[in-house]
Amino acid sequence: MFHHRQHHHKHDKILAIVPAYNEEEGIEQVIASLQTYAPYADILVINDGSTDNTGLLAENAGATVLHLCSNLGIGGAVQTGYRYAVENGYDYAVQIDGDGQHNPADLDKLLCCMRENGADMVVGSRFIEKEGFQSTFARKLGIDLLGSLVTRLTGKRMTDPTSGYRLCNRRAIALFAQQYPADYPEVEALVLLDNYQLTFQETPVVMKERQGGVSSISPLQSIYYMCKVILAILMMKTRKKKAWEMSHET
Amino acid sequence: MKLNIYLFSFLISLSFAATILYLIRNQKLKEQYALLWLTLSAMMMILTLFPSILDDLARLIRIDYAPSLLYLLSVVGILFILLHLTMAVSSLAQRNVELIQTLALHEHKIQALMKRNEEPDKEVEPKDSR
Repeated sequence: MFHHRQHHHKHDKILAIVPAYNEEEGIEQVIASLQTYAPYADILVINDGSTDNTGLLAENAGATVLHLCSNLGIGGAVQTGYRYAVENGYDYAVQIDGDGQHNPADLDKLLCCMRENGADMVVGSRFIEKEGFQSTFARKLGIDLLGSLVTRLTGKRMTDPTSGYRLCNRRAIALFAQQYPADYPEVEALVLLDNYQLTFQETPVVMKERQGGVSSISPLQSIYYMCKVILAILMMKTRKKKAWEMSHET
Repeated sequence: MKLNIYLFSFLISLSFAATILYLIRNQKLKEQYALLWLTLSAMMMILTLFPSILDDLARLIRIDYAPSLLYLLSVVGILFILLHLTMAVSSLAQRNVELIQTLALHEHKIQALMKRNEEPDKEVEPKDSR
């Protein structure tokens, strides 16, 4: 039986979580293109203690905005979105960066991949079809290292473990609302899912270079990043596996 | 001379203990942390009153120079107190994150409620339950 995509979208509540810290240059553009290419999704901007007009611009552009009173970092901001998704009964939540590197038109692909394969989380990878912005050489080395580590630890092939473009179903949303790593959360979240026997899978997307603002990681920070993430996922792997129960829902 | 330095050390540990008790009394120090410090100052007082304990202990585990045992013990003690503090900070940071998130979620709910109340003539129901 053939169902048109848009038809499905009408029945499901989909939330787009956009973490934004001082993104006043790009945030309106991100919201506008979400409204154009993914009109079925509700837009939730997490204003992560921005010191500029990000929050106000997002509100005026028509998004729902949660204002964090101080900067929590990407993990804490995104988790706020997952908590909102649980409270408001969303079926799907998708994380989209506030700097415009993720293309909202790809959301359809993520949704289709999730429905076809039944994974609990679908990650958009820029390294499967190798189109669009491919990251710098040094960074790609780091990503490959983390990717092979995650593949080995979880037994699932990951080419772009640091990608922040990811779609979650109810089970993954409920887990992340309860526990989510605070800083540099992307890679850890994969092992976390695996620990609770939730599944994840990649699907190809095309990413752009970030539109405005500054990248969040400097050279010195990237050394800290690698050490912290590797330590965190190895420690997480030593924890006991147990099936995730969604009994915490109210 | 020997007696003087011990007396001096004892007075220091005594005033340390007094400071701790004063801080607890004025609720500037939580009891759970204060216990740690009180134990430490008690140990300091015992060692300064009976310095022979340290000498005996050093001989027992074959340390020639007794004061180095004192250094070892104090470094280990300080390390554990620091670890304890780092654990406390980690737990505080986690709670802080949850608090900021909850605050943002509730603020949003309040805004939505206020907006709904401001909308005039929306269903004239005099019900005021809940």
